[in-house]
Formats: sequence, C-alpha cells, structure tokens
Amino acid sequence: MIDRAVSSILRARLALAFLVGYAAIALGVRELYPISAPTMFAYPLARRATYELRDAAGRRLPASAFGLQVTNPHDPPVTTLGRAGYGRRPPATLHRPGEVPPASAVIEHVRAHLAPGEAVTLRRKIHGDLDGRRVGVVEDERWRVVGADAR
Amino acid sequence: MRGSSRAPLTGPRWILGGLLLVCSWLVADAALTYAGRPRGSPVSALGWVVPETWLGSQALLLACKLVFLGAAAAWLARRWLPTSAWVTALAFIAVGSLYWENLPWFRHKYVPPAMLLVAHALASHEARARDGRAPTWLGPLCVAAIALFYALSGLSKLIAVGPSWADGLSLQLWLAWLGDQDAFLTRLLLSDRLYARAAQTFVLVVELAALVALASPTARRLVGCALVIAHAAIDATLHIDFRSQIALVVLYFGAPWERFVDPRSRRGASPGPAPRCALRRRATRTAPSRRR
Repeated sequence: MIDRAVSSILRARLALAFLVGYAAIALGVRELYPISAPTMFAYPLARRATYELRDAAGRRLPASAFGLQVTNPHDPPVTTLGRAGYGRRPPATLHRPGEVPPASAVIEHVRAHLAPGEAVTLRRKIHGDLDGRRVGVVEDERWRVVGADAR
Repeated sequence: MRGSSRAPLTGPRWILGGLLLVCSWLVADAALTYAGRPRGSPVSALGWVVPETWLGSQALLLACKLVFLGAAAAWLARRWLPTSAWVTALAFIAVGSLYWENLPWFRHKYVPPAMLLVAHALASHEARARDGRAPTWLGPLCVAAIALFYALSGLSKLIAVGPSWADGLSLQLWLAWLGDQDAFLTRLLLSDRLYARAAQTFVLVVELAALVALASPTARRLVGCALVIAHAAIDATLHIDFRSQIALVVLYFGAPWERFVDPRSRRGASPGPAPRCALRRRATRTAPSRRR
C-alpha cells in the first residue's frame, strides 16, 4: 500500500517535471514534436499585400510562377523561439504575410523571373486600416515590368 | 471525498476511449503528401534519430499506424498493460513525427493527444491494480497538459507581437483575407474594430489563463466552455477544422474527474470500500461467529 502510494506520488512528480520541461523546451529551445508551442496566428499583421500579375494580352498569371505566392497564411514559417522552419521546405517566395517589401525589391524579384524582353503588368494592393474602424485597400500600385536583356 | 463510495469504475475508460478515438482519427488523417519536397529542418524528436531516408517512408508510416491501432485495441481491452499503453503512445508520437517531418507547415492538433496519451500511459501502471479508477493526479495532469498547450499558444503571441496582438486590426485583416464573408460573425467583426478587438482579447486572455482550470471543477468547466466558444468562432469564420481539439476540451474539461478518483490514492484519506471479492471473503469469515 505504502509502496503504491509512494510510486503514485513519484509518478505525479515526474508528470509535473514533464510539464515544466515541456514548457521550457517549447518556448526556449526549438520545435521538437511532440514538444511544440502552437504558433498559429502568432505574427504581427498591420498591413497585407496582394499581388496580381497579367501578361501583355491581359491574361492573369499565377503568382507562384513569380515567387509571390503565400505559403501558409495561418502559421508562416517561425524563425523565432529557436525555430528553423518546417520539416519540408515550401517553394521560395517574397510574399510573407504581414510584410510589405519596397516596390523596387518586388519589381526586381519579378524581373528575375522574366525572359529577356518579356513584359508583365504587376499590381499590388495594400490592405490596412481605413478609418480606425474598418479595413480595406489603402494603396493600389501598378508597374509594367520587362525582363532584362541578357547582355 | 465526493462520491468515493460509489465511484464509477468505467469513467476513466470512457475518457480513454474518447481519446483513442480522436487519436485514431488523427492517425488516419496523417499522410506523406509533401514528402517529395526538399528537406527542411528536423521538427520532431524522431527527426533527429531516424535516418533521413526513412522519414519519407510510406511503409514506415503504415507500420506505425497499424502498431498504434493494435496497441490501442489491446489497451482498451486492458490487455498487456502497461506495455500496450506505452506502445500506443509511442506509435502515435511516431505517426505524428513522420507527418510533421513531411509537412511544409505544422499541425499543432497532433500535440495535445500525444501529451494525453503519455499521461494515461503513466496512469496505466496503477489502473491495472485499481479496477480502472483514476489515480488522483491523472485528471489534473491531463487538464494541465491541455491548458499548458493553450497557455503556450497565448505566450507565443505575446512573445512574437506583444499585447498589441489583440488590437483588432490583425483579426480584421485575417478575416477580410481568409474569412467566410457570408458568415454573420465575420461581417460583425469586420464592421467595427471594437468587436474584433473584444474577440481577440477574449481569445488571448482565455489562452493565457487556461491554467486557471486547475483551480477548481467550476473553473475547469468555465475555461473549457470559453475554449470551445473560441474554437467554434474560429470554425464559423475561418473554417479551420478544430473538431479534434473541441472533442478533447469537452472530454477532459467536462469530465467529473472528482468522481473517478481512487480514494486509496489520496494521502490521508480514509480507505474506500473494499473490492467486492474482499467483501465476500470477509462475510464468509464472520458468518460462523454470528451463528454461534
């Protein structure tokens, strides 16, 4: 009876140590399933960009062909708290939720995906705070991007 | 102790059955769809010890799934305890690890079931000797495991963004982007930042205060209700499938753990009623003296 009670208390203490260790590793060390701190929606978002690409004939082109797709809007790759990304690498992209890169960086990024002389129309809308109560499009920009000559 | 003399013997088994059902659902869902993508970084304990070529193995995943199902059936039937319990827990963790190692994102709904399986496996050493009653610490440990998961979720938001995470603006941007624009709740939250701020503050406070659930049965049920409301609201607006999480919260925060506890496992408590077979033996021994 005493043995059983002692082992029960020991197991309870082991369980408590497990929980404390769990929290310490999850927050301070790294992603180590089954030890993990849920990071869903844990990123800053004050402005959000959307990208639209069209060819010379006005046909819509997939953003993924230009490295402008959103990989995971709910849980973007966490690089804080000792984390180094996911188990499998998603395709590279310039479009990270919550980040609005300078126009020059976006134009250069798209140009790098174009054949020499090829042209596309790039439209970027930035969504953000409209009037303190609602959200909407706060900036709407368009650029014509032409592939650089292979000189 | 409340209800100690009539503690139902089957309570913890119902809960274990519910947990194993949720786990089976998640195990069935795990697939190596993205195994062909370039390798990222190890995200599980298994990822550090198993050769990289094994991590994308369909055969290994299938084997782990079958081991999980076999061991879980044995555990439910109370066969080969505690071995079957530990094999179930480890097989689930192996399935979850293989799944995570092959995903270009995370699936955090595989975390709480793994912690709960470990807690039940620890308790299985004692349950065998106690007719299926729960040791005193099992209920609080399971509730603590789930509550800790939510507290870490709240802390992640505070660490990454700070208290301004709940400013309402980010929620409105997420809803305008990913939300169901026909849902009443989406339209309400988009109509005024005040509503969005209130909803986000509610979620952050409930997550950070989840460990309050350990204070009393009432606190546990209140926190459980708040978590279910938060999940239901996310489901209604963003259609993110949290059914397994809702099931676990209802199961563990709603369970009357106080009635499942084995009175003999409480320090200082008077021993509870003797098992039926012992009562029968005592009655047999005392019967002749009464006749005399």
